[in-house]
Amino acid sequence: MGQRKGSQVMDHAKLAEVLRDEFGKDAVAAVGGDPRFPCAELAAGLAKKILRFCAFEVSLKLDFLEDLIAVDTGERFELIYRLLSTQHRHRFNLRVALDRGAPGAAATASSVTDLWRAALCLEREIAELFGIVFEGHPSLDKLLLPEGWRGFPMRRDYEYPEDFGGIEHRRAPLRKEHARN
Amino acid sequence: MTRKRYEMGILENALPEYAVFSRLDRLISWARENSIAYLTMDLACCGVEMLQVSGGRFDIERFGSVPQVSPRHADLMIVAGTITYKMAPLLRRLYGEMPLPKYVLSMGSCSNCGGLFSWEYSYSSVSGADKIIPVDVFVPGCPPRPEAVLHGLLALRKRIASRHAAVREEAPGEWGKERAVK
Repeated sequence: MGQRKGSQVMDHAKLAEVLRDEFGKDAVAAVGGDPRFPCAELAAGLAKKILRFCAFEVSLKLDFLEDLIAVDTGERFELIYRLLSTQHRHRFNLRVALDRGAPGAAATASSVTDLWRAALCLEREIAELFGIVFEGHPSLDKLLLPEGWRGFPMRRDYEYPEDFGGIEHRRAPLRKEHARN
Repeated sequence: MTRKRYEMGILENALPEYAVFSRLDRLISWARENSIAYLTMDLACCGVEMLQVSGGRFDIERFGSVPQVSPRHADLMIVAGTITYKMAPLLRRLYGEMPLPKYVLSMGSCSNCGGLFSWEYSYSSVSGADKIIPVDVFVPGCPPRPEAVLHGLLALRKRIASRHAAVREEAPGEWGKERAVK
């Protein structure tokens, strides 16, 4: 994306500096990763505060939530906020790690619907597929899956259902008498 | 229409030429198989091929079949595409709204057996339309060519005309007792 005239080019390292100045040394745990998808990892406790700062700070002004991605790495959940500033034309990926909690139980995160309205649908989707409860979200109803679904399909330890709504999931191999009637 | 299949006959020199003799059930199934209105149940990409069938190039209307958007006017349901668990109750309901006699043509791998989204690979799709509703004809392909759908329709016509499967007199809801979607 082209930079607007007069605006300062900002990368993830510079962002980390700004955040560390504001919130202390531990605010940003790590910067980097794949150069095609650089990430700044935020401290879990400060995440909501930092995101609020990013949304309203004049030099950052990250006013557009492009996407909210959840990852199950096996040991933990990660939420990746893809943020864009329509004013400064810069784009950052901010990663927040979450505790997995007990197996089968829901993990909790803080909702960002008050900062970006785009998070309303994104958080609903993540809530039903990963079982992450977003505190402060107005209604975490099911978005994609039918009502009454058990389990969280995008988790690594998810097992496919035996049946749903009286319909058996497994399909038996073709029997001889069915091959031709 | 062949005379042999329906066992129709004309009595020469005894009655006027338009007097045709047949058994009533043969005559009824002849009428049925030549006017199959089908419900366009396009759930996924197979639906595009199904729409092609009624287009000018493949022209399913030469077999007396016309697409219908209302299940109450349809004799045949062409299930074209992946059936998700969310869609399954609606599919069953539309099938229930069709008047008797009713037939189902399952089009494409997804509605035949789950296909690409079969039970081993997907958690959210029904592995086959016959898990929910009774299916008369399965058309293989991913997606099937329009010619294959026409072939399926001809197979169904043959099935309707054949003696043992001419009419499925099934009370509405009876099928659902075993496989009710709760």
